[in-house]
Amino acid sequence: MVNIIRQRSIESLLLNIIGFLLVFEWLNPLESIANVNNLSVFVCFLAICFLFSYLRLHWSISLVVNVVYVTTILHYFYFQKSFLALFWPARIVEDIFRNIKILFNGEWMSITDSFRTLLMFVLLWLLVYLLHYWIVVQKNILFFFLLTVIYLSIIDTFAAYNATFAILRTVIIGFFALGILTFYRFVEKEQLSMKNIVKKRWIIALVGVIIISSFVGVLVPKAGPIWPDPVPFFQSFADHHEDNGSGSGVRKIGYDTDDTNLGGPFVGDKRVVFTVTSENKEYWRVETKDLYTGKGWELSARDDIEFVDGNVREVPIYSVEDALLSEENSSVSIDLADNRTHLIYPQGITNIYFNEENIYQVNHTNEKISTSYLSSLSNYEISYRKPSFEVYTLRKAIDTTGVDQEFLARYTQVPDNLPTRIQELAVSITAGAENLYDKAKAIESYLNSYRFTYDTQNVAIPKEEQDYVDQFLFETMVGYCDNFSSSMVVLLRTIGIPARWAKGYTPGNEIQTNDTFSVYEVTNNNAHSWVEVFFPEIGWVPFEPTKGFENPAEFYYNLDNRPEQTDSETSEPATPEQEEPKEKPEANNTSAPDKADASIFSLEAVAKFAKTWLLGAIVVIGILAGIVFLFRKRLYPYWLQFKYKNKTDNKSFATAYLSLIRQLQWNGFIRKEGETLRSFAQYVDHFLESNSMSRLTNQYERILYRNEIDGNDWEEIRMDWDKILRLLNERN
Amino acid sequence: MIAEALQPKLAKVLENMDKVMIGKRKEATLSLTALLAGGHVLLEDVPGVGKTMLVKTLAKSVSSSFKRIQFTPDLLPSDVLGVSIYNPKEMEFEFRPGPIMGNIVLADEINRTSPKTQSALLEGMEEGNVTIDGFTYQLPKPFFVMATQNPIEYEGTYPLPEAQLDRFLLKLKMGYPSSEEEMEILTRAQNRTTVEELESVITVQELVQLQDDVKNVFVDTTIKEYIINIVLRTRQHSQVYLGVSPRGSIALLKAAQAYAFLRGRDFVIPDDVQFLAPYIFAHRLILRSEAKYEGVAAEDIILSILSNMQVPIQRFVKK
Repeated sequence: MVNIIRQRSIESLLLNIIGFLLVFEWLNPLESIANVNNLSVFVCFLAICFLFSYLRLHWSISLVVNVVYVTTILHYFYFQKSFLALFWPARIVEDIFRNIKILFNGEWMSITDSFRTLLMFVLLWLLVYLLHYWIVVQKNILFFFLLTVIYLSIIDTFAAYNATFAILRTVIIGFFALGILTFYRFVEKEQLSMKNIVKKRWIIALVGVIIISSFVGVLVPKAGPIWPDPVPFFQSFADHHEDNGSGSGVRKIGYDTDDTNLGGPFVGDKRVVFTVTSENKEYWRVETKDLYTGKGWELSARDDIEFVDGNVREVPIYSVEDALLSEENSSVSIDLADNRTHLIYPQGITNIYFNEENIYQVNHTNEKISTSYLSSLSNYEISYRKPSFEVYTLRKAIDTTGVDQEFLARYTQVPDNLPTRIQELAVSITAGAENLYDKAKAIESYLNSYRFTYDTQNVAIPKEEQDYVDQFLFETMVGYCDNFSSSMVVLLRTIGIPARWAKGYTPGNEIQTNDTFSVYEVTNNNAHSWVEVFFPEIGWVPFEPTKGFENPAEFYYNLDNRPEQTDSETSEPATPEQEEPKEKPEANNTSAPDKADASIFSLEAVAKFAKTWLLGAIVVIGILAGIVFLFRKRLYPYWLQFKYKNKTDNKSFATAYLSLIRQLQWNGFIRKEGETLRSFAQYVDHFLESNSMSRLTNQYERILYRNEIDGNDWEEIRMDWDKILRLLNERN
Repeated sequence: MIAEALQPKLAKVLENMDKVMIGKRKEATLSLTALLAGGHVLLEDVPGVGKTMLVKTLAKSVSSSFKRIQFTPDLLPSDVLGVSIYNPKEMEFEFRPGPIMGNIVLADEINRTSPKTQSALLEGMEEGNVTIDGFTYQLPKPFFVMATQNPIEYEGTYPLPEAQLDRFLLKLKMGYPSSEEEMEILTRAQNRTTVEELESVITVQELVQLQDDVKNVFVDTTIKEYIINIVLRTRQHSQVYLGVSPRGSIALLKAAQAYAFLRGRDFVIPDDVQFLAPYIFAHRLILRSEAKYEGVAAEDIILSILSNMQVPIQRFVKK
């Protein structure tokens, strides 16, 4: 008995070590793929867990030790410099509660590192319990072993981790574990007495097999990879992206002041930016940009900042001619969710009220209004005169004569290397239009047409030598507001119409309303960009080329003029839900397909095609397999007939005969243990009312018990054999 | 279902026996098998079920010399083997052979005589010769003993020791006929078709030749392994005190050969082994007393062993 216990404990120790090594292979790549530092802390924890699992101590002991270990580690790494050092356990608990709250809010990115570490510990702990069950109780580790190998292969393929030796190690450990566990399973199942000699032999054989197989596995030539190593691509893509300044990691803030590199997918963000109480729906401006680089937007000039005392004068931002502005002052009240230094305002702003001093700064280069000395602000009021545009008047502007040349140059700027096909496209779109308004409208309608698709996910990033607008207009035709608005500005500029890129927010969702005022909630999802076109003697007129968005600017027709068909297009119904923030792509997001690279683009198309077909093929194969399985009793005989069709030797006859016996057993003719072939054959023949089986059996007996190798009439045998299969099928 | 064609000459013997023996085809076949294998048969059953008849018909079918010894408690070995008598005319002892000197010998009620006399017969059965007064006399070929014993009356009997039972190739029980068979028996008794009217269908020389042919029947290794496995299991069986000896395995092998030959085959199949095993092994097993009290018969043990054992149906059978 003592011996058994000792053996068991050695066995258990061995199994726990194997489990530890397998999980260690999971942890090992983390250092290189997931920026996990101090891996030793986790390894140590893992070892402790397995030690407890081996010692089979009372669970409370292991719980206490694990909790102490985890909290100590957390404290050491995250709370050491805390002011309230004495109360660090309380701090940890507080941290946990805060993070749980964050979890429930779905703000995954805000989870603190300390909590992530804690979750990692918990995960490891659970994993050890699971492994304990698999190894010690169930004695079957195949599933986990397979998972480990798959995990390592994937890591090896898609990340910069060389898992060659890890896989080798895993396979050796895994095979060993499988062999040992199989042995114990046998012992348990068959109630065998465990003789040491048997165990020794088993282990020797096992080790031999492992050594030989790993040796062969390492030495034999392996087929080259079917597709090129994707890691360099991911890396180059990530590097390229980082060079462009958007950095790695997830950037999800809707409004971003950096627009130098546009493109790429984004994720939604429902956090509220501000709420606004207003009579009208407005596009809430933040700034405008004028210099198109081919990749995104920058400013053509240095900041030109003017300090303004709001109590003395109006906001010095020119928007449109005074005549177009409404006589009445509208006022809005804005509550910012977070304190900000820059203000959000509608077109036609006249005054800002935020405190008694009311001093703010206006950047004339981008029309951005900030608080003076950048002190932060949480709420303020604005009064403005809403502009409205009479289409007939707009149409009077035939060209840009009389506009200041410097101004014109600034707002018709395009990069020198802009592909000429953009201009060609602009010319062809506006071919029928005679005035600036119709031209702008034509381009707006063109972008609003069926040719383009609004999408926030499958949005490409331009290649290094590729133009952002060109890519959108001619290749991808899929994008969001930045694509549409930038394209419209660039198209207008190529035909000499001054235009600029405006940024801000859409009106937001109405959350409360009364007769005069409504309260709108504007979230990061409402971040938006649109187009402003300069009309001589009128000013900056907003246009909305993005599909599914409504231009809140007022356009109207003088009754004297015939109605314009284009007008209806300006007031296309919009669905606010569709409004999406503009977003920077995730540089390292491997799951989101990147379409920047044309070759990748086509590769993806191929992959998509292949995926569809592969899926179809899998479904078809699955259905076929199902049919085969369902009708296996019927189909198997045909397979047998096919298989042994032209075989005329004793060995295949023996195989065919035995498979016939199996086939008969499938059909309910069970040969009892100890029943001879002859009596079984008589039983079968009795039921099938034939004597073929007996004849076949006689032949088989001659071959088996007489060792006869000649003089068989194969034709007759085949006939008998076919007859039985036919009779069986008839019975089915 | 197709019937096997029996060995033609032996088929005639069996047909001949069928003329007199009704519903005893199996017993006739087994007796003939023993005769072909060169073994002896122990018939155990109540009186009047045709034990003597069986032997007589068999002897009659083979044109051989038939001798009968009725064992009684006062029978002496010399009454069986023969005796040397002084011949005054020739002035020397002259050997008068006893009833053992025949081709087919019926030893009726063998357990009624003293062990001394029993052993005289059994020695002859085993050795094939007898020694009288210093002279060894060869027994005729073929030499075939069918001994009978009555299992009911044990009073005043000398049960054969196990070692001597081992000398019999197989032990048969006649059993009662079915009512239809008995009706047939009665009908025939009226018509007086008696043993005496039977004609012999095979000569002694032919029989000896057939006995030689039996030895050429092929026995595959798988069959030998099968026999060995059966024997091993009788030795390991929990209810068996003493299992089958190697002599028993040899007996089974030889009987299987003879039976296969009788069935017109030149090789042994597991069916032969399965058919013969109960008759050949039952009297060689010594059951534990617990099993005896429980009323377990040796035949049942052998049958259960057979039905729980894989028959070799391919070259490499999983054990």
